[in-house]
Amino acid sequence: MRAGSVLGIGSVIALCTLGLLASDYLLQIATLVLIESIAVIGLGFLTGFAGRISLAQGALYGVGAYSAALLVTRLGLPPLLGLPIAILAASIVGTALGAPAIRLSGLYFVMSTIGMQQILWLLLMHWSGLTGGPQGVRDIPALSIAGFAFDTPARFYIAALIGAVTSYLLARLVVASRFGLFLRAVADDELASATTGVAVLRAKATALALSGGWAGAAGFLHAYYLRYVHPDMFTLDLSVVFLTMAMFGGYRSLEGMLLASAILGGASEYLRPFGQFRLVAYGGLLVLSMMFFPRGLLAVLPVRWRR
Amino acid sequence: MLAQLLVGGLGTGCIYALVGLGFTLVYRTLRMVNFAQGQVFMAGTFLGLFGARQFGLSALPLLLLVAAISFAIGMLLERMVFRRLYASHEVFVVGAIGLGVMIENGFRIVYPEPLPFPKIFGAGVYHLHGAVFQKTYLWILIVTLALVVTLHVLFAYTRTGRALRAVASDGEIAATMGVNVQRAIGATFGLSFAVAAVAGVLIGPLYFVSPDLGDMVGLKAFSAAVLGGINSVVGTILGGLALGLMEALAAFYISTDYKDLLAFSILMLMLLVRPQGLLGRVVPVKV
Amino acid sequence: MLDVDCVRLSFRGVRALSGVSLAVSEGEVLGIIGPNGSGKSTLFNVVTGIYAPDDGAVRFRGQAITGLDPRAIVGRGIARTYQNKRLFTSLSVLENVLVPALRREKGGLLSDMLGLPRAREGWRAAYVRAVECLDFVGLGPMAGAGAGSLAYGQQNRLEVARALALEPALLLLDEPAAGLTQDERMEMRTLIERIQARGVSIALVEHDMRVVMGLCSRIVVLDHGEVIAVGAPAEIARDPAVIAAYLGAPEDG
Repeated sequence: MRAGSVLGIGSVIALCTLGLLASDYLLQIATLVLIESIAVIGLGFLTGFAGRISLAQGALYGVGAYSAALLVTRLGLPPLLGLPIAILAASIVGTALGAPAIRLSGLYFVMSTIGMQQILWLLLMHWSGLTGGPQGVRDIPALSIAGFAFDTPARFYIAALIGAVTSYLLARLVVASRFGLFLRAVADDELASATTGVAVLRAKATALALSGGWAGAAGFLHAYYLRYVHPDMFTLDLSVVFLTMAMFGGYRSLEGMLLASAILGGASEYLRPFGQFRLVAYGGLLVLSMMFFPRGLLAVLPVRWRR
Repeated sequence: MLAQLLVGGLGTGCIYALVGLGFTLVYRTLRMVNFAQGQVFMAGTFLGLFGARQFGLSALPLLLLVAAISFAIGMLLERMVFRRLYASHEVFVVGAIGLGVMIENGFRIVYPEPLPFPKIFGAGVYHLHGAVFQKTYLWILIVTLALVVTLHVLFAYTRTGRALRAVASDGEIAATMGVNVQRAIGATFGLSFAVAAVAGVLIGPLYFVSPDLGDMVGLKAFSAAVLGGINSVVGTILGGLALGLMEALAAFYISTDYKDLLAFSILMLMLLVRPQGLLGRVVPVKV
Repeated sequence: MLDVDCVRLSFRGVRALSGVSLAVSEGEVLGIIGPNGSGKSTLFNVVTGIYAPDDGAVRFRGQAITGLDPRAIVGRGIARTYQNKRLFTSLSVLENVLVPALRREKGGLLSDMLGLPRAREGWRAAYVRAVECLDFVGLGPMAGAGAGSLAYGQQNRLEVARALALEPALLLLDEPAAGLTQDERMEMRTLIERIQARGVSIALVEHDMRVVMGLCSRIVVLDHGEVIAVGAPAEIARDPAVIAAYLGAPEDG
């Protein structure tokens, strides 16, 4: 893996340099890509390693974002407290709503995540007392940790970079653990893994909890970056975008997910002026990649280069 | 007032039933869910809009034409797209979603603003037990009934129908009995598209049509199918009607905001308690 | 050791098992034979908790295990292989055996991530056991290969290694010799003898008479979900009911 480490460190250095040199517009795209990559990796635990599709990641991202927003604007909690709470909130909500269905077949599980997504979105939109409803939550202060304020684009970019790198490194530890092994076994053959001693339900529930936690962390950054949250930021469309990124990059490749987030996120922002064409292109990409590269983009590369 | 709600609910319920039927037909044959079904429904609405406005077609010819065209498109898309998605459930679901996104946004480009749908069913209004409803509702009811009866006759009494059922219950055995399985699957898709598209035309005159219709109706029809049993035709129809009625009642007695919540809460509840639906059967997996 | 007591199971009206009773004694190799569809695999599925029987009981070492879930049954000391081979195809050969080997080892997700000593020790111990099981079945050199890339006979042996890594007291083998060449079948037979020599009791479902006759001290014959004969191999071979059940379906090999 030495080649991989060199590549990894090189990438981080390149990304830091980007932060110093790039225009504000480019920084904006890069920051959003980095934030979204965290949610995508979280989703990857489910799609790649547990073999389960979830269309609720957008809503859980929203739970993290709203938690962060509400905790700081309503209760004045500092970000260092807000982050773990946002992570926990998204994780608990995702696990509570997903766990009952995850024992069912993959198809039924997708269905239940759609239900989860829609219900959460509806709650964000209509439970005005808690979430501010269609007004959203405004005037979120800048991210400030120990007196240091991440209040310029370049500074927040660094925060997002730290977040993305941390998320990636932690994810690698998860995948390399025995839990990662059990999860892959469950995805391959659930019955055989049960009769080989794997606690299947516990593994799946853990995957759910982790994917929710990652979504929560990403949502936290989202709230502090845009300094404003609104339910329409967290719709089924966003879940579809996350799913595309997770599956396009290579179903078990964390690096692939990062690459896919960068390519698709970057392209998506670049195409934003083209409005609806952007989404048509997205949809087309999704269909075509499922038709021809169901295992994701990086699956096309020869085995030596993959983990 | 109650009668009014019931009529409205029944009308919506028929739409959910028809679109849900599309889900069920494909699921029974392939054990896969075509999440682009809602967009097919929406496309049907716009197809009907186009036919009515450009060619001034009246109700019956329009319905038949839309049905025929969407049947053909369904078969075509099965051959070109869906067939390559059979690798796994996940691949199929994600691919279908992608297709749906393409369709919906494609239509958004062509029709960015909501449009009124011509009153192809006439402007007449009926009175019944204190309820006032447009002629459209009568058409919805009658056409739904006609379609359901036609499908039943098709499946129960014709050779084609029996072939479709054979493929649905066991593709391999059907193949050994000389059934052209590929064509049967294509025809199943065609039927599911046709049914959903017709539903789109039926509901057109009631609202302003916009590409946003597809998502919600699709998801709710799907919830209805799960409620009744996604592998049961009768179940899906009853589920659709039930959901339509429950939504109408919930909108009035609870709140319009939260009525959407009903469909999804029912979905989650059913999946927890009885995933095969009220009328569905559990298909045992051979170990 | 294992007591199957009058187990009944039906699927949507079709009787799969109609009051099957049998016993596996400590240290023996019990053969279970019968024509296709006689319920052999279904019986294993009931014993290992995949299906709960409609009626009857299963006892292991005196304790009732009827209706327990598969993982609990593994915990009691019963392991199995599958007729249709259910390997973890995206994992390597070694990883396939590591999954069961890690089962009772110290550590978990968090301690793995933190790199704690007890977690690393757990992995070390599991690794040692996994390699030992692979060597025992003769797949040592293939440890790094992808499980899906193995030849058919090797896959059968990997299934067995995976079951052995659970350190079971009772091993249920579901047609371990299916699809093997003559030579491979004899190798499998030797392997089973060596497993028995390690003190593991075995119940063996098999079609190949030569494998069964040589290995088993007792044989149970199933047909249409019922036990039609029990006894020593020589008696079974002469039993008219058994011959009738198999009539018209002489097995190859």
